[in-house]
Formats: sequence, structure tokens, C-alpha cells
Amino acid sequence: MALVEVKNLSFYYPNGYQAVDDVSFTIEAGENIAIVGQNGAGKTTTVKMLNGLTKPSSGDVLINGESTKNYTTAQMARRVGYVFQNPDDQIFNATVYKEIEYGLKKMKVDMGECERRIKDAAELTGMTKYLETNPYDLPLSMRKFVTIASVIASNCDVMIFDEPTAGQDLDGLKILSDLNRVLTQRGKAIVTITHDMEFVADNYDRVIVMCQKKVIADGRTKDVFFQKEIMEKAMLKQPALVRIAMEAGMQEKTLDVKKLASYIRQNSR
Amino acid sequence: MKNMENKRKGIKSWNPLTSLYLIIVLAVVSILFDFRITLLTVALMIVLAAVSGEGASFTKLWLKSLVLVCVICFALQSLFIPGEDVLWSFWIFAVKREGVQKAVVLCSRILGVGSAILLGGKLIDMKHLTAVLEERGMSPAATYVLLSTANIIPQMSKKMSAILDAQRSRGIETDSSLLVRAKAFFPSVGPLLLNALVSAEERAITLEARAFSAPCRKTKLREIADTPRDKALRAALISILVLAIGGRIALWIALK
Repeated sequence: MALVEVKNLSFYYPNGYQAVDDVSFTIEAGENIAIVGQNGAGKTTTVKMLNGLTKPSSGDVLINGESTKNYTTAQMARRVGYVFQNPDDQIFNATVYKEIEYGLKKMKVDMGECERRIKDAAELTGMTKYLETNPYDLPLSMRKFVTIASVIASNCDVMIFDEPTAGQDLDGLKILSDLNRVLTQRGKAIVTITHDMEFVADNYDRVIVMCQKKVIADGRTKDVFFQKEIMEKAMLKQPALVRIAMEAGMQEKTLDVKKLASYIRQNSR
Repeated sequence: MKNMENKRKGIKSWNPLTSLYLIIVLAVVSILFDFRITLLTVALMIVLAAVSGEGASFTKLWLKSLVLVCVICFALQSLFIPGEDVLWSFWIFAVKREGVQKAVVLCSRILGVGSAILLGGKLIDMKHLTAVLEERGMSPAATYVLLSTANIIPQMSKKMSAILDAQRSRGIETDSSLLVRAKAFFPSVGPLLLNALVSAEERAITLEARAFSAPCRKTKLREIADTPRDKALRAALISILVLAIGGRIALWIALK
């Protein structure tokens, strides 16, 4: 049984506008998936149905075999963590420590475990030295890591990150990349919505491409990124590495810079 | 832009200043006389909303907000204002004639002024109104305050919805009993206030970056037509207002 089963999901707004059209996919524990697509493709609405924030008009989402329809979003928070685009919609505590601790207190996690999880989440997100800082004294890109840390601390099976790379510098991207790797090693399923194709190429095993409310491709990142027509249909730019490999006539699909460089060196002699 | 203006129906096609005059006249007339005139004025407002294509949304909002407030006010006033003439009683509760009379006066005023404000919100485009007011000499700072005040409620409710989603996602129940909702108060209102403070600072910087207070003549992006029909309507509305106030004074003197 897959950790997450999304079955024929559709969603209509009360005004009749369809935001998601018959979307299906499964996610296994330890998988990291990027959901990509243009604005308005239905990515955020789809992931909001994973934790019950939005109730599907038809279809169902099963987490460990149980329908999200039977739970409130707050109850689902133990299983599915969601990091929103704007961290300021969440933060209200006076210190980073209290902000991370808040969700754990709500879940009635005992003191010792609470401290252990906060320390771990802070280490993963680079927040250790800011634990006693007021989150609003940190720049926006770091406030994002405060919200990521609180989701990591809650130890959910599924973690959804909405646009985590926006506004991040190289350090921030490295932290995101590292925590992606560590969390998947721990068996967590990571679902990320992003427009940063280079980041996806470097960090994700699987990509789901959404276009006009539907899933138009779902597969290994390199397989999807090398399908020019799919990427064009979804109005997505292929990563530079993929474009160079295709222009150079490389047959093997690779997202490895060294392999591409070696191919180019061999063929230019 | 011209096509968009042409698509506006009924009062929405008027110059916003004319619509504002209408709203003021309706509000004043509804409170000057007794509740029967108020009810007629409110009925007229529903008709005006309908011919402007806002009938359903205005009535829905009106029922959800004003009628509810009026029902509560009526019940409280008629039950708890002391009086001699008891019309109906049950257990410790008694409806007194004096209470009912005061409740009718209060509720008709709330209904009249409230309906006019709701109608104004539905029919007047605040961006257009502030542009017209600025054209007529109101300071840009004052029109900015007016516009941002009008926008604050829809913006805050949108923001609140995003905040509630974020808090629900971290395990905070927001849709249960009163006690549970009370517990969610601080996590919901905290980010709303902090966001408001941060965005106020950013908005001030953005305004200055766009030469908001530069001491020079500003370019207008919008030309709002002020037709002879609008001018005639405004003159008629002022006449009605003067007549209504005059009529009320005359009635007051006659009754005295």
C-alpha cells in the first residue's frame, strides 16, 4: 500500500471554476517528488487536498489507506505537514524555539522528545543559533526555515513544501537540498511545488507535471525533463543541462554535469 | 477601459460622486422619518441594487449582516428595556410596549444607514470615487486613507483565510466549539497584526518610491465621465435632501 494515494481528484470552486481535473498518483515513503507547472495549473489546490485543507469535489486522497475526508486538517497535521509560501501567515511566537515548539505542544509531545525534535529540526534548517531570536528579526528567507523547522519537528510522514526555493540564496538552497536528502533517508515523503527547474533537476527523483488542471507527465526527473514537447506544453523551461545535452545530440538522458562534460569533451575531439 | 465602463449597469454606470450623493440621501431620508419610510427606503435600495446587477449579492449580504443585527437588537431592547405595558411574557422574560417602540426606532436606523452603506459598497467603485474626489481637490493623502480603509476588510478577510489555513495545517483546530475557537484566537490574530504592521511599513516605502508625496502635478490614469445626466441627478438629489430635512423640521415644529 502506498503512503499517499491520490485517486481521480477533481475540485470545483463554488463559482463553478474547475481547479483540478481527474488527478491521480501515488507516493511511497522515502520518495521526493516535485510538482511543477505554470501558475494556475492546479498544483497548490492538489496539494491542499493532501492534508484536507481543501475537500475534493470528487475522488479521494488516502494517507496510509485512510481517507482525508474523515479527518479535519488539524487532525491530518500529525501525518501531513504543510509549509506555506508565506511564512508570515504562520509565525506569531516571540522566539524561533517557541514557534517550533508550538505545534509539538498542540500534539502533546512530551518535554524530552519535544526538545530533541526541536534541536534536530533546528540543526537541519540551520536555525540552531537563532533559537532565541524573534522570528521577525530574521529575513524572510530565514523565516521560511522557521516554518520548515516546525513541520520537520512534527515528524509527519508526508511533508509538503510550497515554493521553498523562492528568495533563497546559495546557502539556503544548500540547506534545502540537504534536508531533502536527510528527510527522504528517514523515510519521509517530500512533495515540493516549485518553479525552479534547476533545483528540481539537482534534487528530485520524480517529477509530476501539471498543465491546465491535469497531470500530463509523471515519472523520473530525467525522463520527464528530456521530453521537450511535454515541457513546452506545460510552459516550462528545460534545465540548462538538459538543453545542452539535447543540443549536443547526447542519447543518454542524464542530469549529471560530469557525464555531460565528459560526453562533450569526447565528441569535440 | 471605455468598453468596461459601458458594461456597467444601472447606478454603476453613474459618476461615483452621483452614486455617493444617492447613498447619502438614502441614508439621511431613512433616519429622518418613522420606520415605514425606512422600510420603503430599504425596499428602494434592494430595487436599485437589482437594476445594477447586484440584487442577489446585496440581499444575501443584507440578510446575513443587518437583518441578523436588527433581530438581536430588537430582542434585547424589547425584552430588557423597563416599561409598564407588558405585551407578552414567558418565565423571567417580558416584552414591554416601551421596549418595542425603542427597538423599532433603533432597528430602523440601523437598517436604514446600514443598508445604505452596504449598497454604497456594492455600487461605488472606490478607486473611481477617490479619483473623482482627488480631481475635486481632496488631498491624495486623504483619498489614500479612504481607499485603504475601504480595502482593509476584504484584504484582511483574505489574509485571515490564508492564516487559518496555515494554522490548521500545524494542528490548530479553528472550526469547532467556542472554547476551541477561543484557543485559536491568538495564533490567528497574531500573524494578522504582525502582517499588517510589516505590510504598512512596506506600503509606505512603496508609496514614497512611487513619488506619492512628490510636490508636483500627478498624471491621471483614469478619466471618469461626468455627464450632464450626472449633474442633473446630483442637483435633484440635493433638492430631495434639502426637502427631506426641511420637511422633517416642519413636521417637528407642527407636532410640537
